[in-house]
Amino acid sequence: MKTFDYHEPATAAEVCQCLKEFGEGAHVIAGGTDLIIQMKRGRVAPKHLISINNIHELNKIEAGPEGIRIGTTVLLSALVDDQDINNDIPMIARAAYTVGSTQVRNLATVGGNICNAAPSADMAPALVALDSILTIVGSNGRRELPISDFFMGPGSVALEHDEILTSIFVPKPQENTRMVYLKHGPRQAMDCSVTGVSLALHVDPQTQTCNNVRLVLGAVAPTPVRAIQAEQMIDGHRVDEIEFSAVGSTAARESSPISDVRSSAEYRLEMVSVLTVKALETLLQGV
Amino acid sequence: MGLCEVRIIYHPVPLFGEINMNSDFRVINKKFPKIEAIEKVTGRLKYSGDYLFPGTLHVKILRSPHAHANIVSIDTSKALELEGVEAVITHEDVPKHPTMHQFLFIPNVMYYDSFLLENKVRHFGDRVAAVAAVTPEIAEQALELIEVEYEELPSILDMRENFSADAPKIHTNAWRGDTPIIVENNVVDEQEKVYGNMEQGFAEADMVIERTYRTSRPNPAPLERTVVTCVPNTAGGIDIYGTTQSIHAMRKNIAASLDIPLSKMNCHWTYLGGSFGAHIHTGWIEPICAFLALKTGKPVRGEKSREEMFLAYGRHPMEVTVKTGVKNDGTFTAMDVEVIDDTGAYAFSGGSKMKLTAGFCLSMYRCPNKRVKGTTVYTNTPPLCAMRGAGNPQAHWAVETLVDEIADKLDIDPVELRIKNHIGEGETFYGQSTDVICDIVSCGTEELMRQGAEAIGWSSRNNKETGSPYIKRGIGMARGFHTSGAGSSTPSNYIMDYAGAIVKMNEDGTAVLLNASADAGGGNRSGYAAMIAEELGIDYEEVILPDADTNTTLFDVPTHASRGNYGTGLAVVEATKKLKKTLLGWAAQILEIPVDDLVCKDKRIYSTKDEQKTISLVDLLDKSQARCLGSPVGEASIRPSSCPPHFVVCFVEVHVDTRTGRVEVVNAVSGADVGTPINRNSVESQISGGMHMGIGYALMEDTFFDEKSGRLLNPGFLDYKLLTFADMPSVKPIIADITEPTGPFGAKGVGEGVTNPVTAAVGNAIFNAVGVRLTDLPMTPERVLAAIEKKKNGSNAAGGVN
Repeated sequence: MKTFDYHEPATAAEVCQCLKEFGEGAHVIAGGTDLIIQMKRGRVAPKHLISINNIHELNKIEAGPEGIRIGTTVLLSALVDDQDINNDIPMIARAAYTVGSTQVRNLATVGGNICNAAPSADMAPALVALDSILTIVGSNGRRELPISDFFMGPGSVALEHDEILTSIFVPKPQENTRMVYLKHGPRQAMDCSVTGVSLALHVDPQTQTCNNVRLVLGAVAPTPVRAIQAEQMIDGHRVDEIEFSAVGSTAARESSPISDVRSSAEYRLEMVSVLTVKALETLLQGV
Repeated sequence: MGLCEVRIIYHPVPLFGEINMNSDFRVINKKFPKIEAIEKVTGRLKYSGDYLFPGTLHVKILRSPHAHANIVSIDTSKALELEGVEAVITHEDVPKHPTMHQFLFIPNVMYYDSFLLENKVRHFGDRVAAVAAVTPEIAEQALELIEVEYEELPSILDMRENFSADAPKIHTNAWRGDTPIIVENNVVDEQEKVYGNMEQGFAEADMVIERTYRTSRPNPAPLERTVVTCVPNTAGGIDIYGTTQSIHAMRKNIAASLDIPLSKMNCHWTYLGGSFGAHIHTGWIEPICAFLALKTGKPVRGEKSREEMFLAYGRHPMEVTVKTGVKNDGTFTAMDVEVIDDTGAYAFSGGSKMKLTAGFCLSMYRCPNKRVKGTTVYTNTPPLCAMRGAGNPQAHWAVETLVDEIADKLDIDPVELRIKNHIGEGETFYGQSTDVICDIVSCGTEELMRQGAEAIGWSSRNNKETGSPYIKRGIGMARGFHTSGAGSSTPSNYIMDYAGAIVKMNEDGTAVLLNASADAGGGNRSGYAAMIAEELGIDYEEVILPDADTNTTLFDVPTHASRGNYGTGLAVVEATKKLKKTLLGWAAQILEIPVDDLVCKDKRIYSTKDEQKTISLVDLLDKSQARCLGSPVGEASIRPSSCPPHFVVCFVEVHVDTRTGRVEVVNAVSGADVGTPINRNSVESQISGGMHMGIGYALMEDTFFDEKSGRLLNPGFLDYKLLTFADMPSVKPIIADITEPTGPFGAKGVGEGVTNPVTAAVGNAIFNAVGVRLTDLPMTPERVLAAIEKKKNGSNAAGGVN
């Protein structure tokens, strides 16, 4: 690993200042579970590492009547344990739980999982399915961005060089919303997703009709993708008239996976379909 | 005493267990902690990488970006100019002398095909140049300053490509012993052996079945990475602290590779953090560091990264075709095995795995007519090595899958077909190739089969249902064995096996063992302490095992082939008996009674005729010292004359997800016939560890190469999948109640056997669950799903998927 200067600013504004000042040679570090590995392999060699771990306001989970705000440096293990998250948006706790191991989750942050923008990142499909809003701070001020507009491609996100993600706001789902995140990998733990599927939907208790459907696929495209056509086959339909396998095949058609060391593209396509069906079974049949 | 206090703090459940079965023993056949256990868990134990010396230079190796290329030119001038760089070496700087890697083979069949550094690279990550610098960071920086011009050559990544006429030549010249040989078609070795009459055998069969099986290329993945430090000493030689399965073999390998006198080097013993075959051979980093230490006069340290660990080791992938003739009553009439074996870019283990596979296939089932044929070839992939089972996991995968299919086709219970035909007591065993042979004198197979079937619930195997309609349950089994060392009734013409031990007694009645046998975590060293304590009638804690070196120990071949307990154990027991004889002789003089009436017990020597006639060891040692009788010592250097197989059975219950193809092993029973278990803790640990490696081999462990560049695609634990604790089923161990007459205290080996049948047991369980048979390892979700879909679409289920 190459040598570097290490900085610990006290505020988000100072972080942006550092980023601006040091230019391309600067890199933000939070948990470091991705970055340090890349540095050890020589794939990135920042001259300046800017830690955001000491900025207290970035490390809070705040539940309000409108939703839950998750600070960017909140640990994945904190998401797993948080009571409000488990009550209101349990899919987020579950997605966090599927990442790595206890040791990894005790270091890795939610912001890191998002900003690293690995196509297989587990937090991304779940946060997209809940219409999360990102707060981004840069040297020119603060802006908000729907998470669906954030991912540009593998390792690439809509952040200027002097900007950082400071928090993720997850709106409180309306009552009777159901949600699930399913992940396929060869092992019970310590796997990057071969395929991840996040499904959130609202079921009207009177009519048993589904609406507000979000079906988001992970690890099967350069970025997390919404399977819009598949969503439409659920949205507005009664629970008992939805054809699960047809929804699954449609979702598969909306993904564009690659073959790599973890899986062939063909198998990923099949898993999109299988996990979509499993997600529907879980939410609508309680299987 | 320190041990006792610490044990109470760390282990609420005592590690010392109850006496089991053979209660004549005081120490062995019980549960006791390894002698180094507390040092290990408290981090005080020194592994090779923990030996640090002031002024050490750090070595980094420049590695090839091509699978196959000639080096046209190398310019090291910029690297040498970098501050902190003390030496840069290329093929132009090293001895033009072939390197030796595995001093285990008989010298006149030892295969040589490489030099320390060469002007050709044969796999992605092959060595190109080496830098020694004052820090690892500077050494790494210097690598970037070395300018190399390559001439790329066409490469072979799949061993089957060698059989085409225009295949590129990876090697053209090599040596067997001192004899130069021409390498043709990249063939390293081949053999064919016929026993009986194949034509007649197949003619007598009611059914002939032929299948081709392919195995993968897993990495032994020991947690400890390879480290070596070479320290020049004042006598003009070097002290070497390395990661090896044999300090003596490493010394021979380095001396031969650098063509320097053996006595100039002293290799120091350290514990290993796992090995599984990775350290059976000496790679290049050790002689490179030794060379640089002699060149610079400074301590030189080389440490492999995890990626380099993946570029240095692996189990041989094989294609095994088995054709079997069988009668309707399940009697085998002919078995024909053909193996194509990949040794990687350099023949560290060469054709040995192919030859071992042949011997193991011969040792599986009674059959009057057998043929084993094999070919080992080079590919442009990292060199491969022995890995837990050494050719036997491949043999078991093929034969035990086929035998299960035969049982199914003949409608015979797979357990009964195996009991009817398995090779056991009174029959011939081929322990390491067809040239290491013994008569089997102990076999617990049937006992283990019956107990294992009972424990897994074999009779419930027709129930395929689980809580989910999409998840099917299956139970499968396989059996087998591994050798205990490479001893043979007459010395083998192929592979060596002998061990040495020196045991002495201190004046206070404690014993000291000087021995070179490596302990990779298997606990064989603690086994020696138990054997010595048992023989001398002293406490287990009273045996001291210093970290010795090649100067002070007798030659001992590598700890491999599950020989630690057996082969080295025989030498330890023999040396201890000699020591005991001296003690008893002195006691006879002092007590004035015949030596034949004396025994060692409870740290004393007693007359068997009159228990009142006794002397404590301490008293005896005081008196004999005052009389200047000498120091009590025994030594032995022994070639074992047998290689008794330790038999194993494996039963597993699986859940197969028919929608994802994912297989989960939910329950496992592993039975082992290890002779007398020296330490039941260690035996049970070997069983659960062996199951872990076996299930990993069955379901997920494999390495992949980019088809164009030959680059290794998963050189780390992110994408090289080992089972985690969460993926492991509970494993019920069963230990057969058997004694091996030739073994130390009746013991055989245990380290490798358990792994061998696991793949076939899992595959057979998958067949039981969903009716498909896979032929290729590992049985990934993708392959299992493809097989299920192929069956659903009406194709022939047998044959699996490619």
